[in-house]
Amino acid sequence: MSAVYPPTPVDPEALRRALAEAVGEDGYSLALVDRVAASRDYWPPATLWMLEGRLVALPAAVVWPRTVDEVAAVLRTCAALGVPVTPFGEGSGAVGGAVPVRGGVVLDTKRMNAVRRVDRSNLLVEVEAGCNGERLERRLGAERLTLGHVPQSLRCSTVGGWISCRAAGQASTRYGKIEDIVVALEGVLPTGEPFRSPLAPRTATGPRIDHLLVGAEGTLGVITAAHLRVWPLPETRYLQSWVFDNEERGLEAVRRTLQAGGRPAVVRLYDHFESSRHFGRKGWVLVTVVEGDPLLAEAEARLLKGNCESQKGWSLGEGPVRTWMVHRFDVSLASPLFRQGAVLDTIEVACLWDRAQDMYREMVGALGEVAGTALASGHFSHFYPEGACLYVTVVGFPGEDRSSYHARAWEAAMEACLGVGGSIGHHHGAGLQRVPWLEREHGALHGALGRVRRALDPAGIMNPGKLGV
Amino acid sequence: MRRPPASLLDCAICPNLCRCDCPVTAATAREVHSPSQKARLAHLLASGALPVDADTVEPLYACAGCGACTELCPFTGFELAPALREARAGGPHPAGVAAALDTLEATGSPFGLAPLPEDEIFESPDALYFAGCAERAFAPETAAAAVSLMRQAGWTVARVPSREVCCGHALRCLGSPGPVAPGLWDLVAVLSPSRVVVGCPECYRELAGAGLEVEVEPALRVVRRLHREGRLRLTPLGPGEVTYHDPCGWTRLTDLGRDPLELLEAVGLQVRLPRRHGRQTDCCGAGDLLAVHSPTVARQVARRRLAALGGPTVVTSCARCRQALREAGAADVHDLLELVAGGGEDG
Repeated sequence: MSAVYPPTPVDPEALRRALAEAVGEDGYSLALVDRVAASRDYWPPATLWMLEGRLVALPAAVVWPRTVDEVAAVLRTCAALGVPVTPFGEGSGAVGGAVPVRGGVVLDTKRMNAVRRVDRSNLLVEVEAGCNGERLERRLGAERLTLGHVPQSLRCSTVGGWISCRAAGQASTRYGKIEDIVVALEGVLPTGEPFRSPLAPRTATGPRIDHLLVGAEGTLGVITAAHLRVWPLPETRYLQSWVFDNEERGLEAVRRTLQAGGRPAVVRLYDHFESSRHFGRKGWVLVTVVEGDPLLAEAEARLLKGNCESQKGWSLGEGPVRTWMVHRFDVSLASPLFRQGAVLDTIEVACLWDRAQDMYREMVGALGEVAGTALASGHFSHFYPEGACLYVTVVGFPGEDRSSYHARAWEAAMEACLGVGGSIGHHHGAGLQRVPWLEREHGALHGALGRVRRALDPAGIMNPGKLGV
Repeated sequence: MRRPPASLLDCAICPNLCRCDCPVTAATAREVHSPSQKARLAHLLASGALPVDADTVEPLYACAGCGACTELCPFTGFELAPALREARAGGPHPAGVAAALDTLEATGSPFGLAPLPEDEIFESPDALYFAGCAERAFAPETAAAAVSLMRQAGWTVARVPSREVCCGHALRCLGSPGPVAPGLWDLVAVLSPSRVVVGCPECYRELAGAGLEVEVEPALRVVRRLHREGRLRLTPLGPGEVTYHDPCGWTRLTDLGRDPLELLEAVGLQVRLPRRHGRQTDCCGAGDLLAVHSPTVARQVARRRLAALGGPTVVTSCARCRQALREAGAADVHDLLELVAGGGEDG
């Protein structure tokens, strides 16, 4: 199955003149190499296009605005010309959210990358959307601060990308997902109107309109900067791990801890296969990091330990946690597998506690039954008082048509998830991959989102094809 | 152009895990300049998906060869810079690269030459000093300082003639690989030096891996050893504070350890290290001839590094680094051996 995305017809010379006026001669490119680089993200089908030597979804131009005003000028220009605009950070998105399927202009945010202000008094950082995550974390670390947002893509993703796909870091159980970390946003609406949301800890002045852009994947405007919550670097850290006979006991230990008010930073519960592969252990291995103020962290570590022991968890000490820390950013397995004809993908969903075991069994089972699947495994990667995120890895050797296998695997996973009653996406966003199931996820609210979009973006230029609206 | 090595495909599939440390990516913000995108481009060019011309190969040259990406690379043993040099081989060449090749052909150096003082050739020297193209162009006094320090320690030092200027690195960077210092083999055979000493990290890597039948050593390491053995006395220059910029070539690509810092401390200078130093040092933008064929990009990289260095007085130990920092606006930047030799006396 080959994806075909016809581009929106564009007069290149008219576009060139308009972009030169909006961002200056060095602020845009119509060069083939820039357009090719901006035509894909880390969505597996896009990797297959590259491996097959196919140029799919080429934009007509790439722009690199430096300021809010330049972003506004680009959007006004594109709205007037009817040219689609796809915001682009560092292209690490896993579901095709940054693929410019209707061509047009890719708006690359990376020249807006300043850390504008670190506010120690209010523990906030004001940072531009194109700032790389690792660079931001290093800047904060120099001041003994941390964002606490450490996604696996930290080194290859941007602040704007995180906010646009409702990302989660590996320590989200303590520090929250990005939507919990965003305090205020600056951006530009599709019509070219710049905005700044109120900078306050909380508001009660109507719905937070700015939060419509959190997770909108660039369909409702462009985020140019954000105020994010930061924390002092943790003074104390407890690395603890246990192994359980089954997922039920492991999940119960975590549930009790969180519902008692404990907030470990990292909590990851691996199934039999992944426990064996990563840690050389049979059973379900639970890896945890508790950190923060010494008094609070000690109490949380004790709470967690007590709950794990009460569920007959067998302590494995720090070893598995240290192993995980060494490999926490490593996604290198995909490269040799793709080279050897495989397809690898990861699918993250969310569900309440009382559906977690069913969710694991149904999703892993469904993926295992897809013809061509060599491996389906999973772990619970992020936890909340109400439930958890299940993160499933699937590897298939389907033979010739890898794209078709990939589509069948996703269909199986999504149907299994909806059947159990979870949310079909936890932190990778919807992009192109989840579009077919969004209406079932949101019901009537999906239509409402479409009406909101049409109101904010009457020219229909912003990241068309995404979110199914 | 040649088909890139298979390992480049691993990089092309990777989500760009090292991009946060790529100095070129940080300076230009062009997605196609990020490490994995360059690997993807090499694959698309080699597979015929993209036309191969001077414009489409340009990003393959947007690399300072600093090895920062290797530090975070999940693929053991893979280095992007050499893979890109290989992918460039045979052309076509972007305009800036073609111009550098023309200069190299005309003068023997991509920079044009500022010849050293008379060549001095004699048999069985303790050291045969090889000054590369950057040293001859920007820092003949640095080469002279290195030779002077070795002589102060009682060594006999011969110098490689000016015609043997190319260690081969420049040619490979410019997509036109050629032999490594072809006349050097004959010189070594005829003169029988105890060792070949080089001041440039890239020359060192090339010559050390070229299979010469004699040891190749960095000048800085030799001078530090001579001082440690008590054969070279150094006159104090301190008290004073200097900021040391670690050249990528002497930290990541060849580990000189604490030798540079110990030499500075030996002359009584207090060394201030910027936040990014050692193996985590940030690039000055001049490596792999970036400053020759893409001067605007190189200057952007150098300005970022200079801003991060802080401190009024900067010391480094690579001729290209010094030149890049000067061109980026550094008012007071010195070469380490030159600085040390300024206070040296016969031991």
